[in-house]
Amino acid sequence: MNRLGLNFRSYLLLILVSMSWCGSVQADLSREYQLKAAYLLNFARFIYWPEQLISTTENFNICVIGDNPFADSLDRLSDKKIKNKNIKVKYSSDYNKNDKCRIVYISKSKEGAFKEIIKKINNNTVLTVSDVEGFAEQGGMIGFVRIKNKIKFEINIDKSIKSNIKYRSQLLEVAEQLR
Amino acid sequence: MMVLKNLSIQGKLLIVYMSITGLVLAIAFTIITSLNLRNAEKNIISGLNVVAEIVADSSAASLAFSDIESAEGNLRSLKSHQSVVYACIRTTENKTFAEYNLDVENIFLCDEYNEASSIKILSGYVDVFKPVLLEGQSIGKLQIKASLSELTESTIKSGKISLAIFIGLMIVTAVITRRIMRFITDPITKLKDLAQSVSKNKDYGLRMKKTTDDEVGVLIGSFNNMLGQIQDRDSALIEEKEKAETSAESAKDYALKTERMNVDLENEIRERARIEDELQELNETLEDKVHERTSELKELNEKIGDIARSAGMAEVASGVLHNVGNVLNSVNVSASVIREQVRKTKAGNLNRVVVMLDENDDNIANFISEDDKGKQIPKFLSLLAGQLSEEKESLFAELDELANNIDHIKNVISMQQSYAGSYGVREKVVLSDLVEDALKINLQGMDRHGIKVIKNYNNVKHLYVDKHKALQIIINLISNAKHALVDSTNVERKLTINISDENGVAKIEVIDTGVGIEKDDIQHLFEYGFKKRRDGHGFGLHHSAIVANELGGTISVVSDGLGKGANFILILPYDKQANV
Repeated sequence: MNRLGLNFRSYLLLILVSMSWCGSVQADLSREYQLKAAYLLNFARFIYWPEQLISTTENFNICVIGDNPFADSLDRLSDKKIKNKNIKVKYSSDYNKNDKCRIVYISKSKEGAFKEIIKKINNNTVLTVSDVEGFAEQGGMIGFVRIKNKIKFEINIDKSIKSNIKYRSQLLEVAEQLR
Repeated sequence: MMVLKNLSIQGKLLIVYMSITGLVLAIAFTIITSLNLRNAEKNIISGLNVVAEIVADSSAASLAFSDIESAEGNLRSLKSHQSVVYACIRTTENKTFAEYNLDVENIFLCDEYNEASSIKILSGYVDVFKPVLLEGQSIGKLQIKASLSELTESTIKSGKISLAIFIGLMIVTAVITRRIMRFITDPITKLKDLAQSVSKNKDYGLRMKKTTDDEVGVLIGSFNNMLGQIQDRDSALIEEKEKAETSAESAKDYALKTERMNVDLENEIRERARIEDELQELNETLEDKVHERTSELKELNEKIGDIARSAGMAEVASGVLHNVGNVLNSVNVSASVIREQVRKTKAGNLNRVVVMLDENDDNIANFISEDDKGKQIPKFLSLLAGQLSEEKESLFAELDELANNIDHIKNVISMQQSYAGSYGVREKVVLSDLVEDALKINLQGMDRHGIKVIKNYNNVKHLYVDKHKALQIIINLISNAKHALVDSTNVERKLTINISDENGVAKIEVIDTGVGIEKDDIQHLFEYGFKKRRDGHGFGLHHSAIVANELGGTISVVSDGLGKGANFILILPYDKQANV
């Protein structure tokens, strides 16, 4: 018996419970980003992409700015196609125009710089998506939100229109909120 | 059917019309109702298809973003369609994503995932399946189930309406038909009434007015005519009846007479039956007699056959004897001539010279040189020597003839002897030799009568025949030809004998330029007893024909008529047995 009145077995049990909780949290996180990766693909499918724009690039580029929370979930989409173009995922710490991104995902690690990045994109026909809280409210186009433990999303229609992004009505129907 | 049979024409016609109309209307209504039913079903399905298309399209995002609420909201929109009872969306992983049940009484299940769109009609429900497409790829499947009860109800409703219309139409048809039919049936009914009246009252003076020229009009006209005829006959019958009554008495008498005649007739029939029985008996006896006679005749026929064969031999023998007789005549003549010559010989005169020389023996030289008689002696002796020499020549000639004739007799007899034993035996025969033998037998007198014999013998094969029978025929033919030539007044008396081959059989033609045969006689020439010659017995040619037939051959004759000669043709097979 020690000072706290806990024996070795109790410590061991505490450690095991803590470890299993941590593992469960990790697993939930992974599942969440798998879903978000799928959502990124589906966003692309519910948008009317201008033919001229699509034809200028070889691939359909999805760019992840900041830390990669998706692990390899996005890379697994590389066998899918949007507008008959192969999906290519690019990871970088900052937005680069030359990457010819069609979707830009701004990671939480860039929470402080996302407005800068949006500015850099400068209303080009690029869909901006992020987990950052209030993203759609603050100049982003689609922001993920968690409601009743479910992944939902908000859409900033005005910003999207300005950036020449047109959504299919079905997408708007399932969006949690339109701004 | 019996009820129908006894129904009035009007009733029958009404039933026929109504049946046809009912049948036609029923068929029409059935077709229309089934078409309507099919169209309604089609409409429901196509409506459901459109709705399913819209719902599937609007559910794509719900499915893509796993928004069950949104998907259920889409399915709820089907509430406005009364027939829809259930709807669901299944994911490609075959999990029910969203479900909506509008029927509180029944619980339905979402069908398994299937990519293709399809329609299923089962147990009063129709299921429409539509894939939920995203970018042309199926991400799930929508199923909408609709009840067809509404359709059934509307069908029953329309069926009831149709039935009501059907009954209404039938009533209208019945009313109209009855009215129209009167035009047809009224005249017939009137005619029927008239016929009944005529039948009941026997009033044949009644008539019906003819109003139309159709079949009924013709019927009325014919009926009126018939009534007229019946009326005439009726009056005629009454007359006849009266006459009949008067003649009834005489008929009675007649009946009595007839009865008597009948009795007589029956007796006669009985008598005839008796006679028939007798005739039958006689007939049976006659048949026995006929059998008896037939067998007798058969025997007789066989005997005749034997006689004919003997007669044939007799024919040859008779020919031989005739020839021998002829030659004997010549022998007799020659002997008479010799006897006459010897009797009339001048040798007797020599005795007178010898007596005269004996008387003058002493002075022979003076007697011959001085005496008148003596001087004549040398001259007389010289003449006598000449005469005696002539007599001697003549006698020698007669004696030669005599010797020839005797030789001929000898030849004929020896030939007859050579044939005598061969009767009925088949032998190898050279036809020309046979003809030559026949000629020899008939040779006598040919020269005397100036008959010139021409022989044309072609080389033919040997014959295998009954030599004797063949010879009989040829002798008979040559003998007939000789007689025909002898009896003829023709200057040229020519007998031609040809031997040739005629299509594998031997042909012997005996052609004469003699008396010829009349056309009418030719067909009877080979009949028994037919003869043209006074000394003939009408048997030769008949028998020759029979014998030729026995040898498998034929005899025929050709003649251009009286005085124009005849050609007898004998055909003989080389070997009858080989031919068989």
